[in-house]
Amino acid sequence: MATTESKSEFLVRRLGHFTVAFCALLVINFAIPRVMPGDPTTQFVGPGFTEEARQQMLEQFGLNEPMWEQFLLYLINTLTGDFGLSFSRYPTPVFELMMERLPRTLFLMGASVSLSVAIGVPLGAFGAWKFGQRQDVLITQGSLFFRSIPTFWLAILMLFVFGYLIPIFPLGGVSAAGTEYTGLLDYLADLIYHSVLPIVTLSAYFVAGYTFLMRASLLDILPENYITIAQTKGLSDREVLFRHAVPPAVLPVITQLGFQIGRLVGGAILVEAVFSYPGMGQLMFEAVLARDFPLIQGTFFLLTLTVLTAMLIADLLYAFLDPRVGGS
Amino acid sequence: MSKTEITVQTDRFESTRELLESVKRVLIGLLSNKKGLAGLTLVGTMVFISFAAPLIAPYDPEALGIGPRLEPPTGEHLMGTDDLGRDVFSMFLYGGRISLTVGIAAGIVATVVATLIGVPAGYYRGRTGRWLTTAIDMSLVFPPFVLVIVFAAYIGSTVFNIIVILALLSWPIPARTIKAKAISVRENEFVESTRALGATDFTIMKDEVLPNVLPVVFANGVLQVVFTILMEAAVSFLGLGDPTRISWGTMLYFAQTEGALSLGAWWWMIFPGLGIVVTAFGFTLLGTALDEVLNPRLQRRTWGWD
Repeated sequence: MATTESKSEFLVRRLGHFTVAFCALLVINFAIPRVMPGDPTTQFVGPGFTEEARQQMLEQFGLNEPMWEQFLLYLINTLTGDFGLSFSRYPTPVFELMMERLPRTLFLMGASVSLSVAIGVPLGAFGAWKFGQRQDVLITQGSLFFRSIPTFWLAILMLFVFGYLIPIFPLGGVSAAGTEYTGLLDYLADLIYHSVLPIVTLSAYFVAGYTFLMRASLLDILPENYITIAQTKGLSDREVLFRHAVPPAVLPVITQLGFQIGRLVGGAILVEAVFSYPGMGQLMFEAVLARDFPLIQGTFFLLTLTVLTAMLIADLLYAFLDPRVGGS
Repeated sequence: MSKTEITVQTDRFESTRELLESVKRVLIGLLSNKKGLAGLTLVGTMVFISFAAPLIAPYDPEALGIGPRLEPPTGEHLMGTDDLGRDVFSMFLYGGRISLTVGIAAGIVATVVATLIGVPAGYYRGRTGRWLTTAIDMSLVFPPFVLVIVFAAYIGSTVFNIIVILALLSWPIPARTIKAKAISVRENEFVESTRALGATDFTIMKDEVLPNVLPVVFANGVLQVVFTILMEAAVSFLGLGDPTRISWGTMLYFAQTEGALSLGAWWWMIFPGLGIVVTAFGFTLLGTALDEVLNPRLQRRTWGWD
């Protein structure tokens, strides 16, 4: 489908989407603790708080003030990264807890996306090339099956097989207790060693998604005239596939990258919970179990913001790569 | 007056017969489709054994000390026992009821909401259409599972709450597909001619657009159940499910928190998980087959984009 808008129009529209979604996120995050049943102050002031800390929280979030004032204070607090104090790890600020965990989750998600694209795109292309044949049917059915496996259950299976039965990978965490590292390389090697199972588990679900997308996308391209022309010009199958068919077919897959990130975050929460991987997901999981409301809100805000940003990046990538956006 | 009533009556009779005819056609189509047959078999089996649980289950699923603690599968306890000596097989059968009920109910509600929003979003060209489309796009942006966790944590998780939360957070994806179909339907001549005859927008949507969108709605609805079943399992696994009702997800939650893996009690974790996989895969096959039968030319687009 040809786009009629220019590249800058496309970017402005997408930036507009991002802004509206960001504002919606701000409002939702403000509203959740205030519209839920119960006394809203109990969602900012934990049972273990000192009287002084209690007064400070009431003051900082303006809980005795009218709504509009609370909202202004909330905006200032949120935009300056102040999410209050954690109940379960009182008196550590929520922001501090999150900043320690966020990089690990970003690493986990980044590695999983790369791995699933690296496997899913070629697999989908192969399926489309062999359309209707045995290999294609196998790939399609296999993907459908993989999408029916709950991520957390797959994580348990992986842990059972490669942690207990054949103990080649650690049972969880990112480092063994009391490990001292001699250097950065040493640290990275240990991090990767601890991340193999979580990354593979998280990728399994998404490989299937990318396989489907790539297959469908290539099937749309293959009947096009220029492919037939390339074939009749005597180019080999491989040349036609990789030079003329695959590059345009990858584009729609990129637009879907953003939407997949939303589910990836959900998967990360579950995988981190099973592998006790100290990232944002596990932090949210712990926060929910402890009913640590400031931490639940903080992790919700930051995880959603991560998704919004990832979608924006996917859009920018798409605009940058697709010649039809803002082309001739 | 009486004349019109009679016409209405025959119309109804006609449409009931037509409906039965098309249901029969779809069923035949599904049964002669390999995926459809496999999907119907898997889903049918799981639904049957779950809802016939009181007849099949050898023990009371909640009775403690029915067998020895943590016993591997035997002839007496087909799926072994848990740490409190409960029979895993009986729990599996009863657990399926909750998992299936929540998944199917939430899937249906989500599909209804998706239709109520998707059809007008596709049908209206002007401001209404744009607003509804923006609403769908914005809702798509939010990571559903993160929201489910937040809501479940704040509202508290009874079975009813979980159904409502899952339904209200999973409608945007089918809504987008239904909207796309509604756009293609509204371009048809018969829609224009009905409008020219003076029909209201509501009538056109109800009588012309909706019937043509229904095939997409049904196929997406079945696939939606896959999503809600997996979400229910995940929510319960995190300990946010209804603690008073056993579902496959809550079974896995207890197995995980009691350290089933380090105890080597694989049966405690394998069977509930298999229940979820078989059910989800069955619904996936059924939904895909339904899509192939109802929307023959659309099939490659099931996983498509705008």
